[in-house]
Amino acid sequence: MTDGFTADSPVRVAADAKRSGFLTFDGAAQQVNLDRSVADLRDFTFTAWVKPLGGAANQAVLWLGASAAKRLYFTPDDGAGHAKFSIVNGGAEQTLTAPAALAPGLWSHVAITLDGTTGVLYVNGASVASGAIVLRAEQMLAANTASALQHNYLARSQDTLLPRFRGALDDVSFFATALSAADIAAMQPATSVSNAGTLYVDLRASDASAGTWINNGTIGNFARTGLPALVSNVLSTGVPGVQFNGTSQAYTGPNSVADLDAASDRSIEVWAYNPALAAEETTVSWAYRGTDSRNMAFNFGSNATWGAADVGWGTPPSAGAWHHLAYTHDGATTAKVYIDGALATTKTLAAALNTFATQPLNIACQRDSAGGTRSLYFSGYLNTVRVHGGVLTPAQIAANYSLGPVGTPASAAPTLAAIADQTFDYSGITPIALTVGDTDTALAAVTLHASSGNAALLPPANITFSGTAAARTAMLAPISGQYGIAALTFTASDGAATSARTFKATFLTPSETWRRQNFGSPANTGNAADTFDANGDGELNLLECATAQNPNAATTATPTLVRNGANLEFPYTRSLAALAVEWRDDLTTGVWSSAGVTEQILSDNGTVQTVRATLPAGPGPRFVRLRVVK
Amino acid sequence: MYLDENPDALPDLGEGTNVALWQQTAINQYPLTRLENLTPTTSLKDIVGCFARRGVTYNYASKTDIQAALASFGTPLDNVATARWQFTDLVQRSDDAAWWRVPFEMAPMQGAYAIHELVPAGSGAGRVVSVNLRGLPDGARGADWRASFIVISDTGAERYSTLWGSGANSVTLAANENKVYVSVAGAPATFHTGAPNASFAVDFDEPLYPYRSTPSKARFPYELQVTGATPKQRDNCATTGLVQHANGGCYKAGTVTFFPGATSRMRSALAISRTSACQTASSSHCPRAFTPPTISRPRTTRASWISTA
Repeated sequence: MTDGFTADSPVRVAADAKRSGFLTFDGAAQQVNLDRSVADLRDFTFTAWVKPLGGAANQAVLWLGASAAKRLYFTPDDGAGHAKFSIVNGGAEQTLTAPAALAPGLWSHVAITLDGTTGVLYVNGASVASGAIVLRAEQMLAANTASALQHNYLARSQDTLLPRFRGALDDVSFFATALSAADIAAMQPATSVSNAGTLYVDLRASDASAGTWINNGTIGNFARTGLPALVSNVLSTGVPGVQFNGTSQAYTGPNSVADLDAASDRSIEVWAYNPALAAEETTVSWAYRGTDSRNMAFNFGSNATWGAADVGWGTPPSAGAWHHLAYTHDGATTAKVYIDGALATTKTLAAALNTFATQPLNIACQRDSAGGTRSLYFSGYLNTVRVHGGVLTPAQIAANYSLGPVGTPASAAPTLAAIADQTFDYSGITPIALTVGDTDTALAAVTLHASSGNAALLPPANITFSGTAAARTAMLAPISGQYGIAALTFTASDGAATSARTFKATFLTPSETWRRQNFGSPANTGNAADTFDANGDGELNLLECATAQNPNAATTATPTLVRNGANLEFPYTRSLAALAVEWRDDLTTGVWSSAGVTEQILSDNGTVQTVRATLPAGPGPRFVRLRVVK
Repeated sequence: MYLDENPDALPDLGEGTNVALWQQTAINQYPLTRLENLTPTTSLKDIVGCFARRGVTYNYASKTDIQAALASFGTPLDNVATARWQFTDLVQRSDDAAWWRVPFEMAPMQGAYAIHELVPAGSGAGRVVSVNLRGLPDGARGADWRASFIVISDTGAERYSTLWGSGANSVTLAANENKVYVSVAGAPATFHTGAPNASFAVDFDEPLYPYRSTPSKARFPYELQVTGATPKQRDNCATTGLVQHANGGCYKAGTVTFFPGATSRMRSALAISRTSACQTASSSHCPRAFTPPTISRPRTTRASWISTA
């Protein structure tokens, strides 16, 4: 398979509060063109992290197909509150419909599996819809000819069959098999620590106090040497850690057990922050130095010289950052070290370890002899120390890494400043200034989306947001000719949490706008009433409004009637209210007529037009009027 | 051959260039790096661009002999046995049919090239064929291209346009000029050595120099907007006597039947039928895109389009 190609530059966002390195799509033009081969799969699985950001229903996150009747797609919201997968090949559509739509503003993991018999739609690892899907992805392929185009996309459909996707996508994958529920479950972020064998040591920074570091493992607590101190927010990283000075501070725990001694298999994990790397700095150890393969010390340093039983980092973990470091020994001759969930080095030892038995476990130092002098102290911060009696798998280590340091506060929700109820004069598109904030997520990663309580007046798709800093702008474009009140909810999201504001938006009619502009209130009452003559010039407010006059100034709408050959020309000015030009020849008999009247718009500024009406001059006297049609 | 013959009369090239290149290239030095040092006047980008366009007819002093050798396989330029090695069919973009992209697997690496045949519209003198070249930006790698038109008359006379790296260029055809090609060479700002300070054999060590991330292996995709001509789409083989799958794509001999059992076996049979049909057909024509059979993929083949960084 080949790469996908982005079109119209979807924006790559470095990180939000939930995920890092993902693409955002504007719902207007941005997309990814996928290779034909992603549909050339007999058995099929699609997986992706999806963060919708509202807008029109039936947006296409995924579309693979040759035509409208030979395609599959997935949408996060079908307009009826359901995420939906649909596939068709010229016959009846087959669908998988979830009980709920994907939550706007939040990341959801989506998986779709097809095996030619059954289709399953998973959301966040759970099967939310399954049923008979006998169509296969490969049946969505266009004929393999020069003229047949294969439409394989992310964030759009073929042509305009479905609205484009507005939101973000990450980690999009296709598999040439129908993955199992267990496979899909394994893709979900870990929620608890994975252990191997007995968890003997489980030290968490927040449990270090009053000289004792409480061990959540099985072998008892650790006592301090010197005064290592708990720092609640290490160097503004937001992570708590126990600080060690590198010269005299350490913790001593109970003696090791047989399951950790001699050649036993074992795993060590630490979350550590080392401001500056010395050659050999010890995070955790037991046994003592002096004999190859008999000391057990897990170091966070830059030493490049190793004994036969030792394992080097390769490139040491960087200074000045939190790292998840792990070591495993399989009980034979294989030792591995991991940095931030990824395998760094595998080493085949000359012989199995033969760790001295029944010696105390040490944090932040080693021992030079049995229970003897401490040395090779750690200078930095430890957030977590775990010692397992078995071998963690690479997947377990990656999962434990993904959990992050312990005690890290949950991501703070973004903020959205209060939005007052707003009244808008009649006009096409109206902006609203907004202010967002987030204490622990880059503002550029904070997104906005909208919902509307009056979609007939202002559907969510007609609300667009711009800006990437604290100051944002919402543009409201009500449906043309629709007026009234819409309860709008704007939601700010950082991918992991949201906050919302609801307010009332009132869109005035043209006449209400005219009253508000001239009388301060849109209400049809008092001096602003249609039937009142505010300036006493003989023209009621209704006519003043219809002819775009100032009702408080001494103006009149009397137009000039000019004869031009066989016609009368009647220029006048009107607002967006409806006016009718009518004529009659006798005011005592007959009726007003608009027969033969034509109009030419001479100018139009969006709210006021100047018009030239032309009508037959008639054989004798002719009366002409403007009639306001309310 | 190009360096010594110097058919485009570039200032730095000519007889002796190859000798100098062999003599002066240090052990483990990338030859193109040395060539760049040997040609201070002409950029390496232009050299690879000029070299690429000679690949249509192998337009060197020995062109006649090369053409004669190729003729044993069929008509030169339209030789189905060798065209796949010389020319690359473009893929029409489904979301914007005015643009044709190079298949990613055929996008040139540094110093490599692809040649696309364009079938001119109409006939007679004055026809204008235009190509708008748009490369996939990769600033970090210094992505760049060198393209050239190659126009061949009915008498075999061959002429070239100026080189260009992006945007539009065009040629106006004479009445007897009915063959038009465009060559596009990968010409990045820097030509990288694959395996610095090591044997070039190590260059193929995938874990050491991954195909996807090693600068020397980077591909430089692009797309073309063509007016006045249509990119040629070739078929491989005749389909006479073969039966096409209902969805398009692969053909099988009418006598081939599929075991109606396990899916994997059926897929395997399908792949075999396609191969054998292609090999045995007298005029060798297979479906345009020969996609690998699913059975050949690992069970959990996984391709990520968006990395999580």
